[in-house]
Amino acid sequence: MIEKKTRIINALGLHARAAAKLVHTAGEFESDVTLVRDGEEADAKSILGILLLAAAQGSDVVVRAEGEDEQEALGAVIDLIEDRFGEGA
Amino acid sequence: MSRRSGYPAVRVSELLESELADLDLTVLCGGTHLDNEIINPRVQKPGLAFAGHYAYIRPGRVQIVGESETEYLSTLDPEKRAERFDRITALAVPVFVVTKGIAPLPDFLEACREREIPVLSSTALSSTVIKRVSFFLEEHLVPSTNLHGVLLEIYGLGVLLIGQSGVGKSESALDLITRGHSLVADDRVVVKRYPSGELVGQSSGPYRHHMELRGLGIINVQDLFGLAAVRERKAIDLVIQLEPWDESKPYDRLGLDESVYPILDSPCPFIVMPVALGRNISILVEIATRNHHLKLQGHHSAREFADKLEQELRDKARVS
Repeated sequence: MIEKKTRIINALGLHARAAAKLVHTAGEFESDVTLVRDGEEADAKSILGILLLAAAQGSDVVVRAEGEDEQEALGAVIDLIEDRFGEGA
Repeated sequence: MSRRSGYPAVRVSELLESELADLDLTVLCGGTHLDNEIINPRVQKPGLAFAGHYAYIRPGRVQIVGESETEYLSTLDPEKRAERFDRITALAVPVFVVTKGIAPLPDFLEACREREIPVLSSTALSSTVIKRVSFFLEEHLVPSTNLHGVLLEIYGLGVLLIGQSGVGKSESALDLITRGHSLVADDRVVVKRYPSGELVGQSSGPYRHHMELRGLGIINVQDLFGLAAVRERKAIDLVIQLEPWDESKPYDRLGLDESVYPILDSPCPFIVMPVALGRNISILVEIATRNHHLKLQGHHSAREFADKLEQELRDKARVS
């Protein structure tokens, strides 16, 4: 199991479409991917779970991955968050 | 219905078939030209043309000749009448229908015979003939297509299930029928597009309300479930495509975006529903229909959720 801390930096935070992208990205890997915010955990492959975290801009989150391809899964999810979900500035 | 020239058309002979039996139509002349095509659902009364104004006689329209026209014509001297008949019968009229059982003037029949235009006679009043023939033509001249799928009425909405053979359309439909919904058409759905854009589906031919179930063969839904389980026709409100679950395909997880499925160039609300082992398709279809009902009433669950969440995220970002 590996994990990495990052911060939600896009303007609207984990809004619906951003969450859908995150779930889609996590879903491409075999590993279990979990998002943790303030001790609250959510399965990164469950859209409702991610939405209910309601992580606004500036929230610190931990991405955790466990499984065969955990390196790739963690990297992809972190990249997506740090790339502001492709939303630009 | 003939489609020989690429546009919808009705042959004159179709007017004589059972659908219009109440008009008691008989052929007075031109019986060998009953394959003339009617291409416009609006009928005309050629009164003005008989009076010498020919501009509004349109090709491909049924011309209704009533008592007033016939009386007027009999006041004209034969030479003038012959000239008018000559002009009118040159105008690509597919058929004249004489109403109220009136005997048409012999020179009128002669002119029509020469130009190979059939003349039909009805015992009904002009107003009845106009109403019945217009309705008949509208039904037969609207654009129409055949779709492979099952059309059901679910909670009052017309829901068309499509998807490749063997994906479970018929089984889901049967499940929905046992849950109290009704069948409109299975396998081949005839869809017509009315001028309002409304898409109405019905089953084709005399074998309506039968279904095929693998392992059981052909069943008669009306006999098995009763009259309430079937409907003759229904406007299509929602199209649901069932397809085998594809891991690599990004299915809609939010429902924020609306898709449409065009039928006869008319857009229809559309959902792609992946089918995996253990998914209860009929319940999913029911829920999709309920959700569509909500949308029609102005409640969009996914958008309302997303809006609420965005508001919360904005508030939080402001505080921090």
